[in-house]
Amino acid sequence: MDLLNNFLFIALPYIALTVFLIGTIYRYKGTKFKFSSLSSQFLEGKKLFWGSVPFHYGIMVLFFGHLTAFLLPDVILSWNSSPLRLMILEVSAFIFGISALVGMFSLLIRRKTNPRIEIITSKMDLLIELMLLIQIFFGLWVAYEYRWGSSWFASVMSPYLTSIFTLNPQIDAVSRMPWVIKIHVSLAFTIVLLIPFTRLVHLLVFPLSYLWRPYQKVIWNWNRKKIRDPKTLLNVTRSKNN
Amino acid sequence: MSDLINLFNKAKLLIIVFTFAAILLSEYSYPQSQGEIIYKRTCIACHTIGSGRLVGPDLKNVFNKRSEEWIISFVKSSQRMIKRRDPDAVVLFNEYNKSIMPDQNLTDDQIKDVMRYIKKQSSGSGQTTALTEDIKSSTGMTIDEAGENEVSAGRNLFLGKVRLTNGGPACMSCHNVTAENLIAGGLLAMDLTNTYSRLNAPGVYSIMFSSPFPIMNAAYNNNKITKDEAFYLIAFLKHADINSVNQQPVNYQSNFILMGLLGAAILFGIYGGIWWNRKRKPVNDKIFKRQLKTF
Repeated sequence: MDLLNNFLFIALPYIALTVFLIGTIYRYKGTKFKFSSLSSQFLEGKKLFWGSVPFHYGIMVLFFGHLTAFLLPDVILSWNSSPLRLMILEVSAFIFGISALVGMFSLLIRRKTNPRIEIITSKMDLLIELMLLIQIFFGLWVAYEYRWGSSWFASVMSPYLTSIFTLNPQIDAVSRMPWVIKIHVSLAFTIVLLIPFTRLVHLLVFPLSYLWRPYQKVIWNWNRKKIRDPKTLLNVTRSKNN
Repeated sequence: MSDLINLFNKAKLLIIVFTFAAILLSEYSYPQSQGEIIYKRTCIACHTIGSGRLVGPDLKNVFNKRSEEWIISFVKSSQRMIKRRDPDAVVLFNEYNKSIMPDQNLTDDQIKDVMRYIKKQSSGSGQTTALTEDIKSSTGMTIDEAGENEVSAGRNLFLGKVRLTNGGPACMSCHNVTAENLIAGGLLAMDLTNTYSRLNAPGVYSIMFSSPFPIMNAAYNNNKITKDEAFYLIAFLKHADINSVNQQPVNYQSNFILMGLLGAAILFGIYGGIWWNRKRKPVNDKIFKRQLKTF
């Protein structure tokens, strides 16, 4: 048991973080064009909307929630000092968790049932989507079964994560956690490990600059009617900037 | 003459250096035994050596009552032994109000070190206990004298309405207490509603200061609970315990799921509402309409 705990909470985090760091740099330098979410919106849009939007809004709130509790545990504990605020935080997180779970589930169904999507689906796509689905499910389980996770995460898990990043791993507390929480933590590190090998790399190249760059007006400088006519397609010179 | 003064200064410097070195070395030469360190970190919250029962039994001469193998096995996992229906383990479990002794992550050698320390303490006059003084507030009030104000202060600390002085998390983060005007507490650790009658004030007090539970240790190691805070919390736990017979536990779990599902339904409505008209119109619809207006 000790060996397993040492592996899950010391070895795995360091392997995951090292592979993540080296792997993402290597892939960015080698196959920069694949550093993307490899959108399939052109192939199917309707089901994508009810999968992608709930999943992304859900997972973003949860990710930044976990990050805040890790980096600023005192802020979370102060916020939770009012029972009403604690309830609001926990229920909101649970709602966004359900949103992420439903979203991920519909994305997985879409990927397996739509022939156009299935043909561009790789094994890694299925693996990472399945892992995310299980991870979110376990997260909801933890929130339900071991409630007020926001408070105990800030006071117990945050010191553990800090100890990992300060190269002085303290796993006494995390080793004694219920197995559901242990699986949630281990799966999180496994997902971090897999980031460089999957479409999850897109979270590292989120186009933040879009938030403050000026609007761009896209103008095609060719005759649209002519370009859409299959007979004339090859006779038209495409613009150089497109 | 100046050479003599230099020599004298050098000698003085050497004496100072040697004195410091001797002090430092003495720290390393006479350390606490490994067993003592582990005992004071892990066992002292629940056991005494010669001062009577606390949360668990007095460990004085424990090696005369049980074999070494039995003690090692019990320390590693008392629950496993109880599940195996070990007669001595079951008797102990029942005798101590079915309080579960947490599994200790110690090696055989470490447990033997602790037993050597207990043996040494048992033979001497040293009485080892976590409690060195009576449980009193800074104003000298005892738990039995605590009134509504102290209970209320304890309730506020338990809920986190008043933050613990050293920044530790509120107890309700992990513990539940069924009491009036109290929202549901956490479920990560044990329910504390009847803790007072099971452990009594000294037991609760010693766990607060030297917890045998690693998760609690991680939360409070660097954010110790003050003695006054412990006093108020015990007053609150005692009050909750006495009044627990009149309380009906509320099932918050189903409400939590219901609120989550309802909230998620609203959230999905918002998603649909925001992007209701997406892709129904061309991207240059606005420009097109603006042009029409000019006619």
